[in-house]
Amino acid sequence: MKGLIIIPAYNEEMNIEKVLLSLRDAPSGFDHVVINDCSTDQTLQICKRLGVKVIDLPVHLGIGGAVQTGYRYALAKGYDVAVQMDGDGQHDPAFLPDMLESLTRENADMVIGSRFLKNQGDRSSFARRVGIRYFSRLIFLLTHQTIKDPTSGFRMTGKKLIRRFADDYPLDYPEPESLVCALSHGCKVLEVPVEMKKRQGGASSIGLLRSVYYMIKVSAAVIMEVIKLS
Amino acid sequence: MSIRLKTFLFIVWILGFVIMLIRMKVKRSDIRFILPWMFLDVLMCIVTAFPGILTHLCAFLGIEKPSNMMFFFGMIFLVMIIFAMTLQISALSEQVRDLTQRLALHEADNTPSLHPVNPDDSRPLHPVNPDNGESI
Repeated sequence: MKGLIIIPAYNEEMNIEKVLLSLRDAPSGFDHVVINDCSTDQTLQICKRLGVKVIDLPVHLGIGGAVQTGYRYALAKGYDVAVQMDGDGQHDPAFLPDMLESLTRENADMVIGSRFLKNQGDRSSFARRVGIRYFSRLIFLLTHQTIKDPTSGFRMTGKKLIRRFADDYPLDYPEPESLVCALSHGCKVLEVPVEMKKRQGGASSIGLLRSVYYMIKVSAAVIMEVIKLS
Repeated sequence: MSIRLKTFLFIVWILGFVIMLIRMKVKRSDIRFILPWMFLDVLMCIVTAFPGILTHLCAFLGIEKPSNMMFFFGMIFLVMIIFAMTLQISALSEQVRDLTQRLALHEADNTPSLHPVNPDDSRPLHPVNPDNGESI
């Protein structure tokens, strides 16, 4: 089993070092690659100093384009398992063995690290939880499957979805859309309880003003994803 | 339509046409993108030369005034061009994304990694000096 940890990073000089050092806790057999999404700060230099593998995008693509680069890399190098982990330190690699176990034991295609199964750790603000619950309902209506944390960016995928995501991945706010893509293609998606930390520095990629656009865009995209097939 | 107005309009259309020709020949703008605007320019020339066409067309379509019809068709034409542009931008950004990823992956493949990809390697991360590969 060959695993790859994909860490998209855009201006994460405050967090990236801590994240990379925390990867000591990752299970053996996992490589890691940082996708530097054209950062304007010291992110690239820090990664080089630590000697980690970096894929340096020459043009800023956004989170979706960066993550997809990771999947393309995983596909090209023949990895069996890929993990997405944010570059801001919210996700704890200590949960990777749990996720990997679910993936292999249940023969699943995707395992999502979910904040809402045991309700531990940072569970985001009230407004965001309302949004997350809305997406969860919408996804249930469209696919008849319950996913409690559809916006979690902490997810592990098997070969089948590595191939699919390398080929096609949404550009902005990709989590719910790619999840519905997986579900509607008959992939088995599981959730595993994880604890997330509060962001340690930098700004979140979704400001308050953009959340309305976010809700509308993702809803439309999720609905389109289902219509495409039927 | 007075002769003065007609002359003025013709000057505008001809000037527009010349600007488009210059863009195409000197600045090498792609003819595919200029062509719809040239088509519009020629159409305006014909209408200016024979305004009677508009009155007849108007009566045929049951629109009360030629000016209303002009606004209506002008708008439809512009929306069509803008929508075609949106489609082109969408296709272009898809191509830029693919190229960016290809380039980055290609460069990453040709840059020797200090922490080589090896599935059996579970060593902890050590800070290393990128110049000589030694631990800091």
